[in-house]
Amino acid sequence: MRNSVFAPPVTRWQRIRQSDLMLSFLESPVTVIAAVVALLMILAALGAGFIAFHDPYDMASIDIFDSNLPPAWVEGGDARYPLGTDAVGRGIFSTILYGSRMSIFIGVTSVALSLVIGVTAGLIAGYRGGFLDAVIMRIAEVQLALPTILVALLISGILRAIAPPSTMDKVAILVLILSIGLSNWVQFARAVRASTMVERSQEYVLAARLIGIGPLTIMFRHILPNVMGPIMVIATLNLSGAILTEATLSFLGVGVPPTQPSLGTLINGGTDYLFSGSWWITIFPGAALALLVLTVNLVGDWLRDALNPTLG
Amino acid sequence: MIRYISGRLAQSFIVMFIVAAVAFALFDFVGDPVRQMVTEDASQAEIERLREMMGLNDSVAVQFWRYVSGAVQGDFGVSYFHKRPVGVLLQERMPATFELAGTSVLLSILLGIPLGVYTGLHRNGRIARGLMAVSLVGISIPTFLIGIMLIYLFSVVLGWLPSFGRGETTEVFGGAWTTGFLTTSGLRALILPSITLALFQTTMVMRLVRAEMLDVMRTDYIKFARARGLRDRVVHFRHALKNTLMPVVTVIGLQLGAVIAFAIITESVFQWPGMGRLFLQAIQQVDIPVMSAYLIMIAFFFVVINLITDLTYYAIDPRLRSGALKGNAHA
Repeated sequence: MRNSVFAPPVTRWQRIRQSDLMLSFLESPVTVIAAVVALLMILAALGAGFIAFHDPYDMASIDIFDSNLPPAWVEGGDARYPLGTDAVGRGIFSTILYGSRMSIFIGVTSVALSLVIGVTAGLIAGYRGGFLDAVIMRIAEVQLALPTILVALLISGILRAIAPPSTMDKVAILVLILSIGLSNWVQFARAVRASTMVERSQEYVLAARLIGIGPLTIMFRHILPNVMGPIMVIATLNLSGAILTEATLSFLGVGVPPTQPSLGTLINGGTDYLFSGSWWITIFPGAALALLVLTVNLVGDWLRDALNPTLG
Repeated sequence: MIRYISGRLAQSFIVMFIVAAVAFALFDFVGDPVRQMVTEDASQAEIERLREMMGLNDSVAVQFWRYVSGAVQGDFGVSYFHKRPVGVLLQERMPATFELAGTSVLLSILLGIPLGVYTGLHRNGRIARGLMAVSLVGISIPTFLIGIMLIYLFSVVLGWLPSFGRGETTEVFGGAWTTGFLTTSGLRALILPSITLALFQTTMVMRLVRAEMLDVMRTDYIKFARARGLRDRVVHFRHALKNTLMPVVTVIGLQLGAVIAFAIITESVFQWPGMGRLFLQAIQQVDIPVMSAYLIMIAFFFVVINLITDLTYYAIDPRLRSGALKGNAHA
């Protein structure tokens, strides 16, 4: 059935539809559901401005008399706020949308940062070898021995020490992206290095060197496209990790400033009201976070198995 | 053997040296400490005298040496925020963190290994698959959220257990250590935080033991053990489990460090008066002496744990002693 040799697919869509990756994707219902849920959550977060019932960070749109309302289906709930409201009358559903937009933004940018650093380091280490390789890999080893959250905390502490306290609120998000990005590059570097060492002695690389192409071009134009598989897998799995780290750091009070919504700050802000029984302020953002992380993880796990059957 | 151990020791020293250098370099980032200590109308001569007194005019090497030799004796300077010696602060908080981390590791071993063996032996059983699904969900829920949910359930709704603090503590060893193990309120206060901290490790241990069991059960010597007519119990626990322990010991050893790091989160959720919270406050307040000291302490734990893990390996695996796997010692 996969013998498309006899009837070559015509359109690009058909080619995608009949690729091995797509077939394996459709064969796994859990992955399909996870991907759809993750995609919906990401789209909803991106379209927060259109979907949310009101802008919870626009003072004009919140009403203090609506504060601390339980979810709509609970006694005393209000249909305008399906998931209830927090202590100042912001709808939880709306804050989750705005919060996940921030969390996803930080997650994606920090993974992009780790990807750029890790892939560059891995290509250089794998292609050049020798002293540079040894130095990069020793640094990677030491960093890998420490848990991500600890490295991120340390980097964030150092960056805070450098930045003057008065500017902290403005640069907090940049500090957060840097600390998560810098604490996650190692996996990229190791995977890319391993694949690069294999590719380095392939004939196409030798041929490229023979005709006098420079090492940078060989690394990024010739080798990089051939090591993209593992990079994609690690990027997906790292995305869920980065979102988790963001939430954890913000929860600990060293991430996104409390005045701005992210899933972490929402959960943190809600814990104060947990004891008075307003569980929805914390639990719903928490559930959104867990769902987002779980679905991205499931897609990443599937991608790993599909692209690399030997890893099983 | 001596060569192996001394090689590992040398590596550990290099790592500690680098970490100490980073910790020392942190002090440079906050600017001139003298400026923060003197009043605005201090004369240049006064500032100069203070600089000389604090040794800030010495060369970097001399200052570094002074810092390191102080650190070795437990003197990490004075906290900017608490205005007390960092060594004393750490010593006060250490028992809380160690009791929490120790209890969690114990919990994760006691739960994780049996669960791993069970899911490994009955890989297609309904309960085993349910356990695996639960563990995947468990990994996706962040530690702090689990803590919050436990607090809501057991402290707010049911009112069974305390939601913060360490309960009553008793001083032991002449006041050098405070323990929560000896009072009921201390033990009750320990339950929720240690479960929170242990959950992630438990799933890790369980998944690892399961994977190793699956591997080992396929090997020939298990088939032969069965062929010899040994009972299942003996095959599973004497033959199979014993051979899965190598990687399990390594991972638990390496995870000890992770537990101490994750304790930062748990301590923050449960307002547990440990080193993690001290470090977190230090980051928020840019309290460099505390940050540096914590960095050095954590690195020291990691190095010692790694060293012990490697040496345990050496003790467990006879192939390492005979040198058959030379150069593969840290695989």
